[in-house]
Amino acid sequence: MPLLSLGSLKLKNPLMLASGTWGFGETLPQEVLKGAGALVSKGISLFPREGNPPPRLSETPCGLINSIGLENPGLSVFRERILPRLLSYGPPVVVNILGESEEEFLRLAEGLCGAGASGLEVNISCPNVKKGGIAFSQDPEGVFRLVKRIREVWKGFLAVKLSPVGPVSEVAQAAEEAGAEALTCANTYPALSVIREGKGPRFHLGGLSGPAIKPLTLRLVYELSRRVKLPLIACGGIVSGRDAWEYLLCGARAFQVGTATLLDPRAPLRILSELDALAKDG
Amino acid sequence: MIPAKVIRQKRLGEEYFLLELEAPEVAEKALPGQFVRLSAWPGNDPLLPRPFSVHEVEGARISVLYQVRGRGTRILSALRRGDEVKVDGPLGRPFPVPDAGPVWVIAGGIGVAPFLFYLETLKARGVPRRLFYGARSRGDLLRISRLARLSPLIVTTEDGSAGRRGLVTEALSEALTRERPAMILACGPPAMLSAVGRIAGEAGIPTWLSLEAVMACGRGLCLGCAVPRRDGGYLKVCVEGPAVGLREVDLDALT
Ligand SMILES: Cc1cc2nc3c(=O)[nH]c(=O)nc-3n(C[C@H](O)[C@H](O)[C@H](O)COP(=O)(O)OP(=O)(O)OC[C@H]3O[C@@H](n4cnc5c(N)ncnc54)[C@H](O)[C@@H]3O)c2cc1C
Ligand SMILES: Cc1cc2nc3c(=O)[nH]c(=O)nc-3n(C[C@H](O)[C@H](O)[C@H](O)COP(=O)(O)O)c2cc1C
Ligand code: FES
Repeated sequence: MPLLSLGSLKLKNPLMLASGTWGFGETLPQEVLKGAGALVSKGISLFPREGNPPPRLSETPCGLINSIGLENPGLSVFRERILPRLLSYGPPVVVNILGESEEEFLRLAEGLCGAGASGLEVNISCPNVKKGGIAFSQDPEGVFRLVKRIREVWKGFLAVKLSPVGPVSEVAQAAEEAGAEALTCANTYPALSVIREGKGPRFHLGGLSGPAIKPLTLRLVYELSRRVKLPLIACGGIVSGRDAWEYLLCGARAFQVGTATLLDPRAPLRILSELDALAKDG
Repeated sequence: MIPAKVIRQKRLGEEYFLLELEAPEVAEKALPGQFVRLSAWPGNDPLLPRPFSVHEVEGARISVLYQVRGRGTRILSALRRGDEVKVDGPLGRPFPVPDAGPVWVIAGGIGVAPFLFYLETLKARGVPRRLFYGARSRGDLLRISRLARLSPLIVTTEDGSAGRRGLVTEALSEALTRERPAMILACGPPAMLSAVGRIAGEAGIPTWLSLEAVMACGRGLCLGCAVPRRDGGYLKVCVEGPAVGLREVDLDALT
């Protein structure tokens, strides 16, 4: 099969497993891990994070709100004990990194040099952490500085994961000018659901994913493909080959599958084969 | 998720159903305490498959015993013989099966669902056992004659319409003044679990609590089914449970 290029990253197919939706592969069928074009790790921070108290999930019509809060083991445990296993699955590994400050992002990038990962996905779009994350996405100049400095220390593939809210095209253009090789479009939408519990109503704030967001992110990909030259990696509500195909039609070069894998761990393979069938039918 | 045919569905009361499925792959592997995820609707609404304990396994069939709570379970309750559902599992850790008993099993309401399979296994292994089964009212007691054949049974209802009047935890406390089991395993509403946890903790008996949480993946992918751990951090009910050792759980955070 011809390889697909996203900047310096070569993929055997356009499907990537989205950050935070496949654990570290422990319980996913091997065929799914081996069959993906690339694997994007859970968001990794400089130090371990416990994540948010429950509730962390709530369901909305065709959607899922999560507020995991970036629970992760931190850079050193990830690099020493987890990354080697991820690399053994075969597809290139892209590490999703989240710093609370520019300095933390840089230390993460430096810390991952030479560890075997093919790329970094800079997470400036997590809606579930107080510092860093989505705050960066309000500030195109800050993103320019951040990406430029990461580019100086990280020689491999470099993607920026955009938030779908805020000055999205300005942020995308800033990332492009600063030397990013691809843009992941996009993370979850800040959202809220009112949970009814025994004790009364409760607000659950988090990021919305799943089929509910597909038309929104599809529009975003369509718009961005007209404003930036960088390859776009679509991500938002893909649960079928048809969804993926629509994103490719709207200008995406590759795509990520997130929530669909939670619903059914074999969904990524099904999506790929449905996409293949669509491509064959023209 | 794999397709499974509905063999039959039986209504067991106002809001309770017993759903029997032809699912050889699941039936072959399932152990007591494990759960499956079911989805019985086309499209993406509801989005998440719903988790249910494996209630019983017979040959290639599994059944789940459930209470109608919201949209998903209401849709399930309309299933008829021959309909197709999607099933995922078995998932989660099986309940511990000690070599020596007695094991006291404490069920609150629909929390009885995983215990039929479990008591059957204890019986088959010759482990002494007793079921304490509490419900609101007579009509909420499910599969009583079947359970009575598997284990000595103490029933409580809140309104006194069957068994002893009161809470199942009161019956447990009282029994503990006279005897000591080797292990306690409880499944039920959070308030009951935390009461069982306190009573059993004071008595110093090895205890497991079967927890519930909203689940998106059922297999450790999303980190969504978090419950506070007693010594900090969060345990993931789908992979570390559903039954978790009492010492792991922060009882105050359960309710
Ligand atoms: C491991 C496991 C095993 C289970 N086994 C059984 C079983 O054997 N039998 C059985 O009847 N049930 C069982 N359950 C519970 C069952 O999964 C739920 O009752 C079911 O998912 C409800 O789906 P629904 O669509 O009908 O209700 P929903 O509409 O999804 O909601 C049901 C209730 O949950 C509450 N709720 C929804 N989202 C949240 C949230 N984020 N935080 C807090 N509360 C929320 C709602 O307020 C509502 O009261 C089990 C659950 C788990 C985790
Ligand atoms: C449970 C969960 C955890 C996630 N964790 C991360 C994360 O750590 N880093 C990140 O950049 N995105 C994270 N995401 C966002 C997904 O990678 C993806 O961008 C988003 O869910 C939209 O795609 P989907 O609709 O296909 O799920 C998470 C999403 C979910 C549902
Ligand atoms: S439900 Fe996803 S980790 Fe438990």
